[in-house]
Amino acid sequence: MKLVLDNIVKEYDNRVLDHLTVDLDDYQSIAVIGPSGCGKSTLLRLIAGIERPQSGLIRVGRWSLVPEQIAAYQKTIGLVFQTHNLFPHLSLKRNITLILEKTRGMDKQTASDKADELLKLLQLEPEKDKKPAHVSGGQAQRASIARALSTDPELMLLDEPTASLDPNLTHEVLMAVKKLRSLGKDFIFVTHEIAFVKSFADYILFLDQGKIIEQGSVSILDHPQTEKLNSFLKNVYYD
Amino acid sequence: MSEPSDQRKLKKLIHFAAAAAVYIVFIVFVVIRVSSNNFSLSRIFDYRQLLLQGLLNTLIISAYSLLFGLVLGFILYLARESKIYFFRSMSNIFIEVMMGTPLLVLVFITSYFIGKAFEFQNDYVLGIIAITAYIGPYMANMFKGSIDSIDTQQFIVMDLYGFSRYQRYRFIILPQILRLMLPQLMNNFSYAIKGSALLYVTAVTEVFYAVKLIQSKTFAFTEGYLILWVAYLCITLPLTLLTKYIERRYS
Repeated sequence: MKLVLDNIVKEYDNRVLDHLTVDLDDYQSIAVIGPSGCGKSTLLRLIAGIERPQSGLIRVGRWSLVPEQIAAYQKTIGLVFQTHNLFPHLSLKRNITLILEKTRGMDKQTASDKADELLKLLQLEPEKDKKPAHVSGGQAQRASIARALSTDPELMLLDEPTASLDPNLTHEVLMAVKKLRSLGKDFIFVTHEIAFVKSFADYILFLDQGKIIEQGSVSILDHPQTEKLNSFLKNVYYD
Repeated sequence: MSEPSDQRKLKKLIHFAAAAAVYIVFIVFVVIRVSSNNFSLSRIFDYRQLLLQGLLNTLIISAYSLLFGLVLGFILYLARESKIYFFRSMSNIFIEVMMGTPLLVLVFITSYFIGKAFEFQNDYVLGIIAITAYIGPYMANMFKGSIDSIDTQQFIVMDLYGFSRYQRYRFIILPQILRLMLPQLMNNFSYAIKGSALLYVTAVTEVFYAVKLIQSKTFAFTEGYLILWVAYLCITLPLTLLTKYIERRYS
């Protein structure tokens, strides 16, 4: 996958992303790490096209994230948030089939088969008819991964998918994500789980205060070149 | 140490009965003081046909007003959220003016001026229009309140998957807010029922007007108002209980 960030600036009340520039090609799984408030979730929202930068250009794969292309681009991505964001009044399965039927024009049977297949892949078959409030946080989060996969996205964006889960459920969800590698999709994800980054990512961006401090392959985690990454790694391990 | 639940229930019941008794004693006192010696509900019951007709009309007027008020409220809500400032202004002006106008004034204006200007003199329909216009803004606020309570990230999800405006409301928003809106909706129905009493000023035969009519024939004023009062409670109290039951059931 190609990921180009050209001089990205994003400000709310203060500057969150400060002239980010990155030019990556051919990585399948890019991890964005950094301390809380470093701008990593904002970066993911920009890459998802949910928000626009004040200045700079973003290119993902064959798309330039300009207003005319965003709607078409968004049909090719799957997004998983920090919290599950399933529609609370619909069952896990209906959360998937509704989107397939109404926004992808699939007929009922095909949508149902597709949902069953994905819920099975994420080991949610017994829970498929339950509403989000009646399953565990980990199950709901896995269902939202299933939903994100249902539209056959080329790129999956995961924004701290385990942030709201306890360690057991975190493990459960991360194992589910690992299984997805075999699906041949590209991933960009934000997480605090360094062990997961090591086993899943093939490129790492380390952000602090809206700037990229270090980047490279997984080996930068074992041999940090900067004091900031060094102290960040120490902190997350002792969290 | 907590009491057994049976005992607690009994205690609550006794307290409730005592409280109700206080009010009943007060009412009986007033009735006895003001009514002449010939207090008799049977004089009213001779006209039960008229009374029932009035009650039925009250229910029909209120139901139509509720239904149209709901539609008007949704339109006002959509207009207020519109990107076009003209629609936002149309909605805002209507809401502010209506909320500042007493229903009685609205009934007069609708019937005597607007109806006349359009050469439309059905006071029954004009009454429904007045109540509809009156509760529409409350309905609009009800929609706003419940739709605002939906997590913003759900809207992001709808954006991402490209739901159309119709699909958003039909499949995601309305099913979620119906339950939230129910108590408010019942409240508004209760407003419509109570408000419909004011239509007597334009001689619409709802229950209040019916009772006035019976009173003028029988001179049974105390009995008339007492029955009228009970009649309203017979409609509104079950509504309140139903709302509470539904709220409990789904909470």
